[in-house]
Amino acid sequence: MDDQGLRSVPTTPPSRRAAGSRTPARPPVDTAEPAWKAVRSSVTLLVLIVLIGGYAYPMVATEVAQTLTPATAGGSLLQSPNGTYYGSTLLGQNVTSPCLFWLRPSIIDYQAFTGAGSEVPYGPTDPHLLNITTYYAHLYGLTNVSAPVDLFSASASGLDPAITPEAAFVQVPRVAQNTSLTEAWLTGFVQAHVNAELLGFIGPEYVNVLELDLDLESHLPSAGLGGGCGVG
Amino acid sequence: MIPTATLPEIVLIFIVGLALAAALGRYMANVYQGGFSRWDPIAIPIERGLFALMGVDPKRAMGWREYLRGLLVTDAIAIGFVFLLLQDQHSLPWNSLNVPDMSWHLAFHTASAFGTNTDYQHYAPESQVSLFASLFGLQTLMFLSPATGLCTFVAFARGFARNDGKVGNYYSDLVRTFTRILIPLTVLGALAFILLGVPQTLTQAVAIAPLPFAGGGSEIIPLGPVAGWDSIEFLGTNGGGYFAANAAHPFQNPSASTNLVAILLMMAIPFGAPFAFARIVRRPGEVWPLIGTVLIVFLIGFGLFLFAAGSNTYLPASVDQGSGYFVGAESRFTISESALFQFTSVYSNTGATSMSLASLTPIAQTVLLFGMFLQATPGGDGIGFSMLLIYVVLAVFMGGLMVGRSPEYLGKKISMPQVKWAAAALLSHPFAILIPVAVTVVSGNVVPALGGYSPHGFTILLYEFTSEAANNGSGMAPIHDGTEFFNVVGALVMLAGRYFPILAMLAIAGSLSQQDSRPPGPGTLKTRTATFTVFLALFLIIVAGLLFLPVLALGPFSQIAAGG
Repeated sequence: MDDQGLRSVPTTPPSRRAAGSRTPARPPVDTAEPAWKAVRSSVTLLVLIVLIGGYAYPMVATEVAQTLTPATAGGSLLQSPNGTYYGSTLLGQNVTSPCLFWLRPSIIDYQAFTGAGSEVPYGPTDPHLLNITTYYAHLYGLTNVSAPVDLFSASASGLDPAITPEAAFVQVPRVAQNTSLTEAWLTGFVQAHVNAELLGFIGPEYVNVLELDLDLESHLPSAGLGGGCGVG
Repeated sequence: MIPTATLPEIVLIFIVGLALAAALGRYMANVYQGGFSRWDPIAIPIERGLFALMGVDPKRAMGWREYLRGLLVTDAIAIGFVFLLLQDQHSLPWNSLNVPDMSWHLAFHTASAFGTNTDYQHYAPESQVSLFASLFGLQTLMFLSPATGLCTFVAFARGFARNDGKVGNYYSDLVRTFTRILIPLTVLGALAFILLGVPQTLTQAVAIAPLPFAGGGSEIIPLGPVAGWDSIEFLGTNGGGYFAANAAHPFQNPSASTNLVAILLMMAIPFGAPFAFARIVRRPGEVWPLIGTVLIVFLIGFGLFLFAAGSNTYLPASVDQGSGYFVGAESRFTISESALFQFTSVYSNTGATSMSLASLTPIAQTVLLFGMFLQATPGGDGIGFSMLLIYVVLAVFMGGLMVGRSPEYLGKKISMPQVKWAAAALLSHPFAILIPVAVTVVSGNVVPALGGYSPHGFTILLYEFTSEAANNGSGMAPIHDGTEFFNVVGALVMLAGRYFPILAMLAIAGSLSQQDSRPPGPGTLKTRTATFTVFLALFLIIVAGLLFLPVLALGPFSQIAAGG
């Protein structure tokens, strides 16, 4: 490549770099460096990018994050009084108790570590999509009402902790039936847990089901994390 | 159905993104022209030290061949280094999850993917890349690959601005891109993500006991320096996820606000490039036909995408889609927000995903494929705009012939050498997509990868190679592509899709920079007009349409026709 570079120039013999470099009035002279110098420059450059982009930048960012926002920097983890972690407010879990609110179906059953393959694997016109939607409508006992599509369909991450407010309200009759709580009280309870739009126009209204259920649990007769369902 | 209630927000974000990009474009032009900056008192001594270490005289301009050689040598060494690193990550430090070494072909695919700004991932990062390989290997390439793109861009721009046969100094351009554009902006982006609740820790995973009332849940939550990763993932139009679920993962994109920051970062450099270009060639008014063309295609595409992604008519009416078609989308974003993220990500060739692409309607999938066929509206950092210049070279030539004007652009005559290289760059794209698709189909790799033959399966296969050839990196599930065949062919497609156009772009830059700039005559084709803008936009759409309509007919169009 070096030789081609020299050959292509139809001008005076190539002068050395020091002589030719800063005199723009001269006709074009290709003064390409030898290849070994390019390798040396490239390697030095890469060492620099590894040290700054690969090491210094994430280290400094971590220091800053642990100082400014220690809780969220650590993954917004939920810790029980005895010190064990039982999840993150950002990650959904597959709630199955009939007296609590349920989340969306998950392709990976809310396993954060597998991660791979969380994407919805069927197309929009695939009969499987219709089947699975109907399956969940039956499972959730919601065949007679119009329910929002998010409650019956998987998210892209398989870890979505949120549902639309409508998907929470539609579950109120079931929760009321399985607990001693009234529908009116539960509706108000869900209402209080609706995350509003940011600044009034950014983001949807949604309910973080994990937070909703943790709070609801404390209102059930056998309160506490180990309690599960209350009075049937 | 377009969810109209959320449209004002989308419009506002887009306008803010454009305004920031225009400001960044002016700043970038200043950086590449060696203008003064408030960073100078700190930056100049550091840069001087670096150049001394590298043995580079930053003022010495290179011919295009030497520029290309520097670029290729740097990228080759970097990709080779990461190729080796990924195959040995098991025995290296920072591997508390006991991640095994990658196979040679997966390492080849992954290193090529991150080195070419594609970031197509044939693996699950959680369980297949250690923190060490992630930071020193992949994140390093995430800084290098957008810088490579921007160097190509600025060298191409200088071809129009200079007449001494030179295109600039590669090492100087790369160092300044890194220290003055990428580092300051990623630090700002990382800070925003940190403040908005994205994790940033060196802990690789936390063991948890799931809630007792949960029938399933994680026993291990993988964590990491996600905020910093996010920032360079989006700003660098890389698109490789720290987690497999990428920007849909609640750690990478926990709220609508982080979603918006990500959109702004993805828009910044691709939409800033036309503004930088117009200043580098010292004709600020020439930005309008270029940005106008990009906007025409981008906005039409986004309108279609939003329309097509908003609802799915195949679902029964008893399923309420009032808030949108949420299959494969996250509930903490509105459908419009998910759609703007996804569309911007694919059209800027970032390739991060916040939705499941397989469950999108066929029209929405077609719109995304079209963006990757074009690669230039706005396309990836540096390369996207350089692709637009390739189209401009061809459009000026053809337009000039059609109306009997002499084909000139910015005072440089467009003739055979430039048109040959531009046509080669343009035609390399269908070659890099259609040949591997055909090879996969005839070599019996369809059934193992996709389970069988179907229009939807064909769309997935077409999407895979289109994404790799366009250096995009988004993928459609489910395709079993972690095999030796897909890894090796995919890596070759990405390398060809990256470096052949770069060769063409630098060759054109070199030939243009040997010409003297001529003043416009009465016979010169005027490019600063609305007519030329519309002509250029139509040129893009028609050329991509002609090249790729047949293959679209086999995939998404058959899907629509079959209704299944």
